[in-house]
Amino acid sequence: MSQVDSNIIKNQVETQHQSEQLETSHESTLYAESVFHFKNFSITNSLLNSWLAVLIIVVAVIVISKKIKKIPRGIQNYLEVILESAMNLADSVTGSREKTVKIFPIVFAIFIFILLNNWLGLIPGIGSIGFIEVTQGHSVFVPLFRGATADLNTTLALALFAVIGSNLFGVFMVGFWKFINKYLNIQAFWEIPKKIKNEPTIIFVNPIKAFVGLIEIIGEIAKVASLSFRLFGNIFAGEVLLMAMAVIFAFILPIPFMFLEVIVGLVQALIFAMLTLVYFTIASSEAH
Amino acid sequence: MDELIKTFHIDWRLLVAQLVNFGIVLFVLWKFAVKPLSRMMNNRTKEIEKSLEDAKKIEEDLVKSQKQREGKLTEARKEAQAIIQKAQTEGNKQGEEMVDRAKAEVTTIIAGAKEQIAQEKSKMMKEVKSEVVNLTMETTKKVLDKVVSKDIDEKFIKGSLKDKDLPFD
Repeated sequence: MSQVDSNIIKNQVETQHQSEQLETSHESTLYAESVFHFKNFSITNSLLNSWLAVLIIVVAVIVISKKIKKIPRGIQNYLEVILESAMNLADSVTGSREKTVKIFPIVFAIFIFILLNNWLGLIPGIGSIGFIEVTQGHSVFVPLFRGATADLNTTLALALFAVIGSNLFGVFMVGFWKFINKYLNIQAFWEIPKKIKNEPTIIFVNPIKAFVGLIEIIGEIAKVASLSFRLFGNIFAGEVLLMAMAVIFAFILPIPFMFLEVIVGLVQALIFAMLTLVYFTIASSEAH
Repeated sequence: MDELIKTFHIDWRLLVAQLVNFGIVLFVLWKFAVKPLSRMMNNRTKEIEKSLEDAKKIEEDLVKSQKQREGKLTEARKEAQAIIQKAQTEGNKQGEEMVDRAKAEVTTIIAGAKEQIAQEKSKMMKEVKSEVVNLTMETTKKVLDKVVSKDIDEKFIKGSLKDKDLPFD
């Protein structure tokens, strides 16, 4: 904490100093700033953070996987409990262990990746250590690291993965014909001449069904938007909140908000993962 | 849409980079954590189930063998009892037989002895008779030698002897 605070204060002091010479803008930007360029690909601070998260996960997993034994000892017990209860939670959504086994690794990876990125953004130094860049006559403070989920690129990538992945999974699970009828309901029109004798209302009902299918397409786009913006908004807002609190009073005051953000990070990761699980489950279940 | 991209600095290269990052996480977690762990857990569950079943079977076997043993024991006991009883009755029978045989032997021995005694007695009687006759004849001879003629005497004596039985009879 103190590192963050002191950095912020230092930055403020710097700002004051420089304000005499140059105006340094010091606000949290909605986008991730690029730290350096590799050819014409700008590497942003959130991408750096994301790499850090990947590195941590890979190292942790490799260390853990070396220690997996038939008779569990120490940390393996906890990991097994977590895995087992997570699987049970997933079971309650999917309704069958078979489906859970297929979907769970994806959802679990999403959860771990988002959780670690959310929490990495809270570590002191991330978002407050940086450099001052001078562009076009005014200087801007650019943090070296930024919580990866506080960048819409990350959350949008994840949301796209979740939604497109769930649709692909649906194709594999129920077959292409049944799946495509969810959106472009050709089957509904196809059925009309066959069933019209038994239930004449079908001539009104099935076109409506087909229209609902079209709305589903918009629903999929909405899923991407809601997933990505929910996560981005929560985490970004958390960072702004912490910054604001630190500016108001740098000591003690941000601590409760820090705890709040820890919980928010966990909850948001859980929500994202659970929603992904739900999307996968819905896509893999046959249309009614 | 352009506004959105501009505001949030959305870059498809960044999207791809983040997707790659997530892909690495997904692969590593699945390959090295979730898969081996869940396989291990499944194996363990199966093993525990099997060993529990085995334990149940062993217990059942134990109960069965115990029952079998008990059954065999009671059977053996019964057999032993039967053997003992048989031996007892046989022994009794044999004893009785022996006693009977002994009795019969005794009676035969006694009978033999009696017969012998009777034979001996009759033999003795004969001898005594002849002795007595001789003696009497001698004495009478001696007496009569001096008194009467030998012929008459002998006739007389023999006649008297025939009339009278011996006192030993």
